[in-house]
Amino acid sequence: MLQAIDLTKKFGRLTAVDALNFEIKAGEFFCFLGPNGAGKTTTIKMFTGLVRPTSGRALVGGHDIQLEPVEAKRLISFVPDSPFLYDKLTPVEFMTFVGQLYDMKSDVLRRGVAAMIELFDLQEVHNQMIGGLSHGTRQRIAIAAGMLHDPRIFIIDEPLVGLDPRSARMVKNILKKRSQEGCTVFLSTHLLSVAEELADRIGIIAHGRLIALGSIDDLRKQHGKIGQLEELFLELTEEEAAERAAALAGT
Amino acid sequence: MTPWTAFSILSRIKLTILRHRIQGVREESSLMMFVIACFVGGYLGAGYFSFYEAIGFLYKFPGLGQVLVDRMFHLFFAFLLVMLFFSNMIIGYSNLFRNAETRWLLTLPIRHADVFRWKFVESVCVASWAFLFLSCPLMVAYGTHHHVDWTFYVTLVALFIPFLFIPAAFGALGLMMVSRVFQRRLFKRAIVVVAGIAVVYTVLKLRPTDAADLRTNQIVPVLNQLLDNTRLMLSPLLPSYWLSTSILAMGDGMAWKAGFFFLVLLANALLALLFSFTVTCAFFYPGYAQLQGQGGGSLRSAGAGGDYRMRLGLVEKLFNALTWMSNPVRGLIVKDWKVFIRDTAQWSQFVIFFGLLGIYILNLRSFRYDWNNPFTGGLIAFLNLTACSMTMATLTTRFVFPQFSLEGRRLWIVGMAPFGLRQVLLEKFWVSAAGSMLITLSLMWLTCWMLEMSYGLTVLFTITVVLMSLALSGLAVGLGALYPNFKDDNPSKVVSGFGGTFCLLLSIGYIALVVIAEVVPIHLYFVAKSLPLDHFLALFALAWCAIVGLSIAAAVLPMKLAIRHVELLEV
Repeated sequence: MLQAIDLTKKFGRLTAVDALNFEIKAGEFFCFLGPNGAGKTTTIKMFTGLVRPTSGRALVGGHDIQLEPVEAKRLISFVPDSPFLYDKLTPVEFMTFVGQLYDMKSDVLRRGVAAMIELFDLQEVHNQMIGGLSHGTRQRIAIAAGMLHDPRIFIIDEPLVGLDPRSARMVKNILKKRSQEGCTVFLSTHLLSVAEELADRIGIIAHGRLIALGSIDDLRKQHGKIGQLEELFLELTEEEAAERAAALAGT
Repeated sequence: MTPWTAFSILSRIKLTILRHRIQGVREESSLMMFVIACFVGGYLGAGYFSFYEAIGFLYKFPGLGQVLVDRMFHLFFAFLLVMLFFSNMIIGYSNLFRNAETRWLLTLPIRHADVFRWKFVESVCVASWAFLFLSCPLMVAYGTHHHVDWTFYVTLVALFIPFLFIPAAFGALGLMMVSRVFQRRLFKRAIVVVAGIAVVYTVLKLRPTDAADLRTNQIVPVLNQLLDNTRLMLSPLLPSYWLSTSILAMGDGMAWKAGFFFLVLLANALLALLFSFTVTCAFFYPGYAQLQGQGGGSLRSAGAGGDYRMRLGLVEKLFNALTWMSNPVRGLIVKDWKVFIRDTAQWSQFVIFFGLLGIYILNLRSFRYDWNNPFTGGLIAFLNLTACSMTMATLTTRFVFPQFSLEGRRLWIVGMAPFGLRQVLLEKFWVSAAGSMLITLSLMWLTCWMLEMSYGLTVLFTITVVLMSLALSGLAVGLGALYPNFKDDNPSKVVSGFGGTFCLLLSIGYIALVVIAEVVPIHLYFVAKSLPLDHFLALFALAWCAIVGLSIAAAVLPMKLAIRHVELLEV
């Protein structure tokens, strides 16, 4: 469903993403991990068409996002870490609007909005202006709007920021259930516990390069680590940093 | 989804948002609504009265009245054409490239071209309100003089709409070219070079042509010169010419002529729209992607190989030399300067602002008036003072007022620092006062020299400008802290709220009071000659006591209130 083919992005002399190659299948729950500035957000932006790759291709459901952007975007939903919402709309109005943009039929849309309100526990705020709601509630609204049109691919960046434990549990359960129902979830996060709990496979990126790809168990076996994902993550990223420093010193 | 479907969905949601905003207005403070209504009503009323009198005055010129009125129209709409071009460029830049909504729309299954088209129309609407606001009083004044009926005003709407799209299309094209072709650093350097050339040209052209030539009380050569200099506005290639000719023809009852130029406007507007919607839109996404790629940019470090010291720029070196200034204050000033100069949306408006001032100064070079007439001489002198003061009020309201608000979500950084928000406010006040004083005094001295004003008047105006700098800075900084807007990162939006409007109104009111207080004794003694010397001196002293008192009050009171407010502010 999501495929990166030699995906590269350079900003001047800086290579933010360096020849990424991976494929995520339908229904897979994929967590994208990496230190700050590793290239996670740039990769996501290339998959959502916000940034053009310097070289390589980003395929979404078989469509090249640059060549067939509308067809590709019909399949995805993207929720960034700071989602844009209209302060002067209610959650119902906002979700209705999003549904219309995805060309949902009005009766399907109406039912969908009601279902999302229930699913994300937005009953008490469904008619209040978004501008007056808390960050956590706005986050839930953004995710709800993203799921409304039943996307085949759900790309989400740091979904749990600002959510209370109950809301965080709700979102995790919903995402996992969607993944089990066939939706591909591509989740970027710093929270390794989320990856451990939810991911079928993970990818770790550091300095723009994919340094690990696979299920957590497979990666543990490969590197002889049996403890928490955190140990594995730190070891891999430190190894990469050391290799990089050695390469720089050599040049 | 067809472009029309996308358009209609987006329009509907914007109307819903507008409906909610209007409903929300009822919950806003009545005082705020009253102040805004007074401002709007006051401006429209004063504008109508001024234009009505001006048109009546021009019509009194035997044989030339109609020509002068026509020329005024052509000039007015030509300036608005230029204003709309730049407005659309600047607003389009924010709307298309720095807008969170645009970023979100681009992730949706809407064609990039449709996103551009929608945002283009939005930019036109946002840029157009100023055009309507400025032209309404003139249109009503002209209509009153010509005893037109209601159809005149309805037809005006039909004329204005196509006119608005022409500079918008050119502005959008210019913006796409700039965003596509110029990288940010190169663009900034290009702007600096162009600005430098403009300054050099202005300085070389500044000297008055001939002192004797300026001192004339002959109307005919002055009018000849005026008509000659404004002949460019009669170019039949200018959309402003088509608009003003159509309006003038309507006023004179020449329906066929009005209709012809309306069709010219319409045809060209449709062509401009077609070009924007088919050609210009193709540049949007590559330009957007390119600007995304520029990101935050990076600076060169002081050294290589692990040396992470900050490279000191000229501003840091300059302030480091001012050892009497405390470290936190220095840091604040340098931070404010860097944030300002690295924000294209801010400094580009600054450049345009000074470009307009440059045009004013250049025009003074060939300005002629009757020096021997104390009324005319005094009028010109005080109008110049008013122009310089209004410039300062615009500067302080537009650039100083939003300063506290722009700290926004970063307020906790300065708020947590040991020196406190009080120091932050005082720093902003002194920097604003110094900066606005420097700019306005330079402008004042230059214009006084060009208008060959007396030494006495120049000294008087210098003192006035110093007092005004302090007062207007106090108003802008104080009100900025009393009515902050931490939600918006866009300074234009911060200024356009209640606090910014209130600040502008108070600034204009203060300037008006100061100028009137200065003018009254001088007019009564030198022009009307109705005051004996001792009465004049007493009145002059009284006026200046009032001016000083008012200036101190305007500077100190808002600052005191603001300091008290921020000390209780919970960050």
